[in-house]
Order: sequence, then C-alpha cells, then structure tokens
Amino acid sequence: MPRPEIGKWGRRFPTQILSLIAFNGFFWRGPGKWFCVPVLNCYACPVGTVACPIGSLTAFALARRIPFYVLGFLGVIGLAVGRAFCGWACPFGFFQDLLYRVRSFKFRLPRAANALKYALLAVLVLGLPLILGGGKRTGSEDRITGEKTGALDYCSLVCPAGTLEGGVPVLAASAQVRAQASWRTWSKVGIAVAILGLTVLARRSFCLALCPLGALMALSSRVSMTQLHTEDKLCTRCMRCVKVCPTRSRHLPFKEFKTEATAECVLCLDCVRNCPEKGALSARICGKAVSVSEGRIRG
Amino acid sequence: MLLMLLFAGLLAFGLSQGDAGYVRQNASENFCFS
Repeated sequence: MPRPEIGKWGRRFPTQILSLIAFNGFFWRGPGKWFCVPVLNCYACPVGTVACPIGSLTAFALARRIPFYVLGFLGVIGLAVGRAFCGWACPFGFFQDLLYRVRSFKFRLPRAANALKYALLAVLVLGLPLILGGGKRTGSEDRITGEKTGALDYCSLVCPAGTLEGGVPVLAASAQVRAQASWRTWSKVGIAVAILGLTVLARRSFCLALCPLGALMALSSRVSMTQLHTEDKLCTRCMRCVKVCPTRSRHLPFKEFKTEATAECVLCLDCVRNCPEKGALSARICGKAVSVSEGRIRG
Repeated sequence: MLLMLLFAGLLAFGLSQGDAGYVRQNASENFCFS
C-alpha cells in the first residue's frame, strides 16, 4: 500500500498527547466540569475532566433554557483561535490522526458530506431534545444497564468519542459492566468501530462530516482572529500544503489574508510546517505572524 | 472585535444566570455511556 501524504507532525503530536491526558479523568480529576472546552471527550462519566459542549447544549435544550454561557464560552474561543482546538487538543481528533497513519486504501469524502455535521447539530443536539424534551431531562439514573427508556440526549446514544474514550475502557476493565451491557451499549461500540474504520480510509472524516462540535466551531472559524496567510510572491504553487491538509481546507488559488479563512481549517499548521518555501505561508493572529514556514522540507 | 464583545457579554450573562453551575451539575451527574 502507498504511504499517504501526511507530512511532518511536529509539535502537534506532543500537544495532542498532553491534551489526551489533560482531558481524560483516568489520569487526574479537577474542577474542569465548569468549563465547556471545545474538544470531543466523554461528557459526563468519570473519565471526562471537562464538560463536553455538545452534552451541555443538549442539557440546555432539554431544559428549554438558552445556553448563554456555553455559546459565549465557545464563541470567545472560536473568535480567538478558530478551530485550533480541533487540530491540537481534541482527543478524538488525535485518534483520527493516528488511525489515518495505518497503511490502507485512502479516499476523500465529497465536499457535500461536510454539510451533514450541521444537520446533526441542528437535529440531534438542539432540535429533537428541544421538541421532545418537554423541559425535563430524563434518563439520568443507572444508564449503564441500558434498560431505562426515555433518554433524550440523542448524541450520547451515537457519540463515538464517548464510547472510545469512556465506554470501551470501562467495558474492558469490568466484567460486571460487560455482563450488564445492553444492546444499546454494543450498538454504540459498533457505531464507534464503523466511524473509526472510516477515519482509517478518509482523513479526519468524522471532523469533516459528522462532528456537531466541529460544525459549531466552524461558524466562528471564518471570522476568527487567527488565520492563515499566503505570501503570493513567495508561493510557487507546489501544492504540498494542499496535499498535507487534513481537512482539505486549502485549495488553489490561494488568496490574501481573511479571504483565505475557511470553516474547515483546524489550524493544525501542517501546511506551514511542510511548506518548502521560506516565508511563503504563515499563521497570523490579528495580522501578526506567529508561525512562518521555514522551508526546511523539500520535495 | 464587536463579535468578541458580544460573545463575552453572552458569557458574562450566562455566568450571572448560574449557567456554569448547571453545566457542571449535568456534566457530573449524567453518565452518557449506556
């Protein structure tokens, strides 16, 4: 099998490892449940150290409350650094990056698939809980058995991140939990396996097509203070940045600051790191360069 | 910058409404892996 074009990982890899530890309660506990950090990790079980924004939004929708705090928190972060948390900190994004390194047949999802995540955000996270919740949260007790009916936080029924990072370790560690696991538990494991299998073949496919949190952060990504900038005179159109981009957010013709902003860019800076031309590509915060291509990588 | 102020305002208003406590409570009590 040909090795996929993924470029150098650079400092992103250790940052993702640290984030995995920081957001995973297997390693430590802290006061993080007050905060909706825009990463996809297990929402409420002991292995989540922060509150999942998606779980929080669903809880507000179920209670028919306007989520001022959650939207404000995510909006401030999104406007400051766009979707950088997706690229540098999200544990599920990290697993996707790892899995894509497996040698196999590779393909790219059609761009139209990107719209699916907005539908999931509107329907699963907000719409159905708002309409069917009746202002009451249900399904909050003893849900490990799966026997309870009326659970209305639909995302938790299909979330592969919660299953992978929370459920699977718990299932693996406890024979009692495995014995009590319901068909719903195993269906979630099946969904997670299918999605992870897809990410082996299509890079960051969950982020692009299915992640409702990515959809939410994409709304602010276009107007974020942090953007990529191409120096038109230095760029040789070698297309390496296009090839290494995990979200296909870069494409010709490259344009000037601001207009280059896209909803899908996770600011992983793989393009900057892998650019063969010194100074041709940079990441800028409020117009000030914070990371500039050094031109060390050729070919 | 205006948008940033708007979202900061939303954040502050949410905090004054006790939203952060509601987030923490839900994220601590509900076990979504079922």
